[in-house]
Amino acid sequence: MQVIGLTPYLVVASTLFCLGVFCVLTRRNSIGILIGVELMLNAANVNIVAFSRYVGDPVGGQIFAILVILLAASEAVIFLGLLMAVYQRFDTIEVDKVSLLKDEVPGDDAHERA
Amino acid sequence: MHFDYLSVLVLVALGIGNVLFMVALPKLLRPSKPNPQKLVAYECGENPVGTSWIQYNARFFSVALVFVVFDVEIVFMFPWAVVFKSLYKTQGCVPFWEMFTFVLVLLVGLAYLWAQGLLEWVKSVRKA
Amino acid sequence: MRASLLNLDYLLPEWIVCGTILVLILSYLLGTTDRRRLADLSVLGLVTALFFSVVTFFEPAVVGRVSIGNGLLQVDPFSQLFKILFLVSTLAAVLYSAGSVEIHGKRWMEFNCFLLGVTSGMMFLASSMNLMMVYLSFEMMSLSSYVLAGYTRGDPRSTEAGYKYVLFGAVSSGVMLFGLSLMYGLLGTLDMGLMAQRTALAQFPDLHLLLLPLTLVFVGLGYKIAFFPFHYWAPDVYEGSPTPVTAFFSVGTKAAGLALLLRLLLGTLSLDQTQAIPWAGDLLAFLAAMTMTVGNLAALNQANIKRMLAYSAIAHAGYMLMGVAVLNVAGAEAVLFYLFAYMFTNLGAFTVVVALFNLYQSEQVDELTGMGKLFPLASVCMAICLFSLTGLPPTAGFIGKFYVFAAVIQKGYFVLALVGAINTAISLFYYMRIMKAFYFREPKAEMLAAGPMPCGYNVLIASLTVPVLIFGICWSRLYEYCSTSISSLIAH
Repeated sequence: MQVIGLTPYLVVASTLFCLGVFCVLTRRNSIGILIGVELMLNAANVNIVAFSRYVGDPVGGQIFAILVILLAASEAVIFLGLLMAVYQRFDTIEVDKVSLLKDEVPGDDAHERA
Repeated sequence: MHFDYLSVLVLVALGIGNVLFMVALPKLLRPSKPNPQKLVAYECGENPVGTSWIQYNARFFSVALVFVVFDVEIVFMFPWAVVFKSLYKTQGCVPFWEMFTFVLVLLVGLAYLWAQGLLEWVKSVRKA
Repeated sequence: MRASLLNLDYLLPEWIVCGTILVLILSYLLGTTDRRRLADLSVLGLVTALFFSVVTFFEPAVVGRVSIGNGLLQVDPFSQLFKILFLVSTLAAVLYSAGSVEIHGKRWMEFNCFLLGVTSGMMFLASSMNLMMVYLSFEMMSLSSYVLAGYTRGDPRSTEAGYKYVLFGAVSSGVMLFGLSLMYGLLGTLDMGLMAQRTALAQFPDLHLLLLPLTLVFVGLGYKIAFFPFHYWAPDVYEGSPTPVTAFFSVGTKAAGLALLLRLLLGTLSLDQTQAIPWAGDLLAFLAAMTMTVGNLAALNQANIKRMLAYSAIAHAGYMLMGVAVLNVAGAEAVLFYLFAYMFTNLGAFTVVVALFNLYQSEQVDELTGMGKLFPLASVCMAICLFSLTGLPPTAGFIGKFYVFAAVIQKGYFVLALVGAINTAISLFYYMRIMKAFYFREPKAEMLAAGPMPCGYNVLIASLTVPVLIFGICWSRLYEYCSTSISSLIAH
């Protein structure tokens, strides 16, 4: 079996990362954004494990990868918990609809106060 | 070129091609006479009721949360358990106490969950 | 014993903070639900941890930098000084939120646990010397703070604040992790001490490739410190979160982000010594200028005091970033001093806001009129804090700004210094708007009905404002400590 080398792993990781960023930027559904975040974290994971092999560090990258999986899981848990609270309050999980906190535009402000 | 993996590529291509073929061919050959009763979603013979996007009970989420936490605890215990014997030879009892501390912290969390009633399925009056 | 090999006893402050979390949960399970009792427990834990942090700051072994866990953490004066900062801000947070109406009694124990969780994450972040540890402690800090931001379940704004915080935070930390992984690959090691040696010796001719990883890591750090262009979450989250939490975020997590930034730029990548990335200083200077400007200009229009203070926090992040942008020892010392001054000042100002919200349930500047007549002590302290935020003598804020501007001008960034000066002048307008409302307007009729300010709040506000004046008059001792810290940071 021939050695693949480092580049294909980096390409895969970068592609995953870009797909994750695209997902985050274009989706209105919060769960879609969470999927994008998970994609980004796993892309970094692939990177870490590939570099671990390339750099000659037999264990460091693997441990880092497990840690990242743990933290991604915890983050998803908290994200979903807060999402449940948002759904209870706002009856929607679309990102655009959740916007009570806004910057006041000077013109509108006068109308609101009057 | 990595000709070792050429066979994998051929396999993948044949698989996808096979599926596409088997979907496309009947589509071309069969008559198309849609009828409201024919288009209803299949549910083992029953008539479907309501929408397919229902809201799950929030308790599933609580159970999943608790599961994730303790599953990750087990993930961390596995490598430790595998190397424990050799660690014991070089470092004595200290690795044991380290894992003990880890599990102890999580046990305190478990006790808290229990007290808050998150381990019950039936929603009874919670402490807080 | 092996524990001494790992040097775990130098981590005593962290042990105490984590132990306090466990003690809180256990005592709650065993029946202590009294708010005061639980607050006392947290305060006891924090004071003990603070004591040990101060002791270890002066210990000679620590001055020589103790490595823990085979290079995972490093206890040195830099980390201990930051730990002192974090612990003081958490202590103030516990004290002023004990009486806050926004944190309900039933969830007070959990609030304390989350607060201590953020603190322990920050403390580990200040000590981290390994990319794994950096990410772990960054997330430890962030995850607890997401929950804190959304703490008031009854208030939809708080839920929205928590939700926005999580969204931005999750994405930013994903990007930052990708940057960290690229840094790992480029520099060949997870250990930041080794990285420092490799960059100092210029063993890598391709160090300019660090452009991409550093930019990605900046995204994560920029989100935490809230500088331009990653500050968009800050006004909304600061406005929506319960006020005690906002105050804590504006000081604690910002300081933690700055600790990591200094550790990365000066300690690990040795940017003060190598010219490997020549554009780094200019980029930071540009970001600092934009941050200050955006923060100050946007604050001019705000009617909500929390939102105004949020934009002011963004502006102050800009001033601190100026100190980082010069990428030398003088700048870093200035940033550290500024952080201390800023901490006392901001906590003092926010404590007044918390106390006023408890009495009047209002955050609008136009409704909090005439406070000068009703609460003389609190208003005087608020005035001192606002003067310090602007940077007028004889407050600590003036000294901090002086040092930052001195470092910037010495390095030659004259345009940046000019922008900073103009921004300081602009900031006077909105800070003085609060003062105008407090002193030059009559209190509304319904305001007189509420009771006097609780004695505890008066004491807390005064004790947070006194350091602002003290450090404005004799600051050299504190500055010495900052110098010790920075010299331990850059020593390889």
